[in-house]
Amino acid sequence: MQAEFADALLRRQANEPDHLKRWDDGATAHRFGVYRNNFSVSLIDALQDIFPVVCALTGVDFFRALAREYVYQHPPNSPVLVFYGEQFADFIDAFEPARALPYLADVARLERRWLNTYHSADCQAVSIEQLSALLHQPQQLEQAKLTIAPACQWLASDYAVGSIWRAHQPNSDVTLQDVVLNRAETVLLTRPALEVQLHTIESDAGIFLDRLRQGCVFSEAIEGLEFNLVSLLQILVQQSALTGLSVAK
Amino acid sequence: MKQKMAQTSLALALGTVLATAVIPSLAQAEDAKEKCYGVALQGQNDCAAGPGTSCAGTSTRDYQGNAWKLVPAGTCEEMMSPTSPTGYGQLQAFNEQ
Amino acid sequence: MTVDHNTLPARAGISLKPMHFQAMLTHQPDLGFVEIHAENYMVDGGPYHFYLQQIYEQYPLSIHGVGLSIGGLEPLDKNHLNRLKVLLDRYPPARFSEHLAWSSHQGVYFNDLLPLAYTDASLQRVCEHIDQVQQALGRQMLLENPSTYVESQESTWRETDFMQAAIERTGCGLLLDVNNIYVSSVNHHQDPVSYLQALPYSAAGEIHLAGFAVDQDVDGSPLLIDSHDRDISDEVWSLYDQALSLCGPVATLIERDGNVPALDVLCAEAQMAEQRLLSIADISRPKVASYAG
Repeated sequence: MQAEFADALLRRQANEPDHLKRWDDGATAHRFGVYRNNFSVSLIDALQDIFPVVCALTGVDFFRALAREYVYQHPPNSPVLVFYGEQFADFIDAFEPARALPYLADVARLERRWLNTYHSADCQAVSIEQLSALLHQPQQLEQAKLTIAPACQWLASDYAVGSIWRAHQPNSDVTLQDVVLNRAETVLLTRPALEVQLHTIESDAGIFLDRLRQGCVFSEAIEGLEFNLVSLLQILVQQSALTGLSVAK
Repeated sequence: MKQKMAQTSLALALGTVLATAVIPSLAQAEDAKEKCYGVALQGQNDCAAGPGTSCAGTSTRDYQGNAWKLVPAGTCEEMMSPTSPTGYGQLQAFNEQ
Repeated sequence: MTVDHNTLPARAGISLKPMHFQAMLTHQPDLGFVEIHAENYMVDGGPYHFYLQQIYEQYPLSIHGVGLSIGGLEPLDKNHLNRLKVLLDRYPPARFSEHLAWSSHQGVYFNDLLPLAYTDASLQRVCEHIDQVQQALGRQMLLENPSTYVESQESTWRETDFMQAAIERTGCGLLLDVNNIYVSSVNHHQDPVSYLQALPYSAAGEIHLAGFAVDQDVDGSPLLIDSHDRDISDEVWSLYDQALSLCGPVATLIERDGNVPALDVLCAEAQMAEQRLLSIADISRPKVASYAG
């Protein structure tokens, strides 16, 4: 019964599976409908919890219709629902009815990463003493490896994703009317203690972080990039986002 | 040449950061956690943590709106720029093929 | 005061919800225990672990799994079992429980507790899965009786007999969900008290109470949905009284998943359960002579 049951849940138009039984041997379609409803509603609710700004942008009716399509095309593959919706942004990119909002997919990417940051591992940042000690060997710093906390996530977008996101937060100083939608933004998420923080950084700073996470040493990572290194390091140090800085012996 | 620049820039930049930045101590990190407490206690718990699991069924009915017949109608409308060259404002329903 | 994490006291507890993290620590309500869903804490770090760690230091904990798919056709998901082991090692709970249901099939997780056919083959499978869980976790688990909306024509066992056989063969305990008994009994036109009496209630290590929603079947008769989103109904309270008279005082959870109210509202409902637990304890406890003065 399980294979058929599972199949019928995944196909919206399918009849209810055979071998279901009602107490009076009556029709079971309505009873099976309870399971169909639990499946779709609970997962649409989950997506709405993960992507509140996408939902605000599109309105609830559109969002739930969009989310329903996603649920049937990409049902979860793990019982750990906080990580559901990994492909939601790509799905929005390809979703015709959402094409009027070209920034929507990147907002979804940001929200998915925000939640990853929220639940990511707690890490010990490099201490000021350790950093200061490294200043005594400036020639080696060139080949230093910088490790960024797993809580750190960033996103480069052709749209003002950070501003759009901020404008939807309570007590925000950014208003929707002031957002210039098609201004490119790179945003960095950090979690110094319990709260996720969002920073806007230069696009080359984002590329620099990409390279660091790929394992490049400092000199390789900064090659050909132009951005304010002091500003970026300031954020990383203040946000406890630098978890390792090692120089080759 | 480039490499030399890079080398001095990390040493210099780090030096500048360490000299000027207000670095959070461990005690301050604990403070930040305490603060999160206080804020949330005032009923502003905005710590959106994502979905929780349930071992229950739902009594909410899925009304099955058709996404191809709907138009986004949320805060996106407040952000539409009439001068936008990319024409974000053209919200319309797509017809299902 | 140190918390005894080895036994769940015969008192009332509540579901621990993130919106109550801070209030739990600030107000420290007098509760017998708290229960979490294992899957919500299968994350690396952040606020969930920050708060759970502190709450764990103050309350006995029951961990309730919702995603193992014990009743599934396929082998248990080893990754998921590992995640569970890591969590239980981090917060060793007084009780661990799971459901007689399935929720995954061929790599898809349905986020619902789905019904299985009760046959010799499925009993064998369920028992193997329970053995595997108890072995991996190094502890006894409790198996929860399900709420269902359909039955299977393939079933050759009654649900209560199936539960009893699984419990006898594996040595697991019973999580007696009183609301599930009521919901299933109404949906399948059975007598809830007979159902309760047919369960191996003496193996109960924990009781669940919750609220249900009332839907309508096509013929207009009530179809109850196990929704955990409202107060416990009078019918379920009275079935709870019957359950306590059968199994004596057993740790009881007020289960709430939707429309979660303020903490004091949940605690007040727990208090109602606790009063019943106290009165049944008075009756069942052997009287000890007290010396005045």
